[in-house]
Amino acid sequence: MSGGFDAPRFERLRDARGLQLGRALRTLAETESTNDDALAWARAGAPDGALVIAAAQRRGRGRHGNSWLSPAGENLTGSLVIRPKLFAADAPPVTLAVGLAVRDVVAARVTSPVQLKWPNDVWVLGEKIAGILVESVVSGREVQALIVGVGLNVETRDFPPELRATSLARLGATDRAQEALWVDLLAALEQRLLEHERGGCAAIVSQLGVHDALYGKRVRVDGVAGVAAGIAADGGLMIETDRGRATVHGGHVELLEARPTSSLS
Amino acid sequence: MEIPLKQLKNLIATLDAGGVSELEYEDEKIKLRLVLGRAAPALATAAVALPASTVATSVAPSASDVTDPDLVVVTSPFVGTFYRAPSPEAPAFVELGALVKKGQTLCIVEAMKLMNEIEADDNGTVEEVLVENGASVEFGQKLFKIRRVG
Repeated sequence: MSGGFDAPRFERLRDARGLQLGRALRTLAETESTNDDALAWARAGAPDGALVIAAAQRRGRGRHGNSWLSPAGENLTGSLVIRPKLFAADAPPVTLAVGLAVRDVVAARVTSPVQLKWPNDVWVLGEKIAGILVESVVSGREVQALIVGVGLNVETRDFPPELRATSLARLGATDRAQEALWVDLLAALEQRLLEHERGGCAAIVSQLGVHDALYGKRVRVDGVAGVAAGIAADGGLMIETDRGRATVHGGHVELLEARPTSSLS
Repeated sequence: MEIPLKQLKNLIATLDAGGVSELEYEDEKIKLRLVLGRAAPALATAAVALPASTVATSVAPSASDVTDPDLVVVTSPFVGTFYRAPSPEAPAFVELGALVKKGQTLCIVEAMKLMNEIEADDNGTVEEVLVENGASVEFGQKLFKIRRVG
C-alpha cells in the first residue's frame, strides 16, 4: 500500500494495546469508497471490528452525496464494521459516540479547543478536521452491522477556502504517524462504544454539551431555523425557534452566522 | 387532556394480549398512536404528555392494509429524515408505479448521519409513496406501499 501506512507496524501497536477492533484488516492503495468496501465485506460476513483502510479515496462520501477530498497517503480514510446488539431505532446515537472518539484523538494532539458540530463533524477553530458517515445494515428490527466511515485530515495543508477545512499538520500536531492514529482511534472507539452500550444515549449526550460547536449559534436544519440550544436526551439537536423549541434528528445543518451562504454539512 | 397512566397501561396490556401491534385513535380531545413492541411504552408516554396538536401525525391505515395480503407497507426504522434519492441531484431510487425487485433500495432514512438504506422485502410495484422527499419521519411511520407480484 502506498502512502504512510505500515500494516505490520499497526498490527504490533494494536496487539500491544490489546485492542479488539481492527483485528481483521484490509489495506488498499486506492478505492472508490471504503464504506462501500466495508459494506460489501460486512454482507459477506466480516467479523465485528473489521477495518478497511485506503491510502487514497476517489469517491469518499459525506452525508447525502457530499464528496470528501483525500489525496493519496495524506489523510486517514477508512471504514470499520461493527456489530452492536442494537435495535435499529436505537442505532443513530452511535454516530455521536463515534464523533466523541474521533474528537478524543484530535484533542490529544492539538492545543486548540476541539469541538463537535452536531451530529459528528469535528471542528477546530471553526474549521472542519474530520467527518464521519455511518451506514447501517438492518434485518427486521435489528442492526446486523454498522459501517463507520471516518475521514481525518492529517497532512493536507492547503484547502480551498470555501471548504473551511483544517488538518493536524496545519494545527501543529507532531504525532501524525498513521499507525498510531489508527490505534488511538480504535482504542477511543472501543471506549466510547462501551460507554454507549452500558449507559445508552444518555451516557454520550452528557459528554457532548461541553464540546457543542453550535450552541447559541443561529442554524437552519432543512425547514427549521433558530438558535441551537444543545443536544436533547435522545441525541437530537434542539433549536429555539420563533414558535418554541424543536428537536431535529436528521437533515442538513447550515450555520447562519458568519457565512450565511455556506452549507457546512 | 391526559389519559390516566393506569388506563393507558390497561389499554396496552389489552392490545398486547390480543396480538395487536399498532393502534391509532383520534377524537376532538386527543390523538393517540401506539406501536407495540420494545419501544411502545416510551412512545405512548410521549404521545400523552404532549398537547394533541403537536403529536406527530401519521398516515391512517386504509382498509386495504388490513385486508390485502399482497400489499406490503414499508415503515421507518427510526426517527429521522426521509430521502428518495442518494443525493439532491440524483433521480429518485424508485418512482410511483415502478417495478421493484427484492433487495432493491427504496429510500434512505437518515438520523444523526446514520444512513439507513431501506430495501424492498419482495418483488412488487410501488403503489403509494406516503412521504415527501426531505420530510421528517417518526419511528414506524409508513413510507411506501408495495404491491407484491410473482
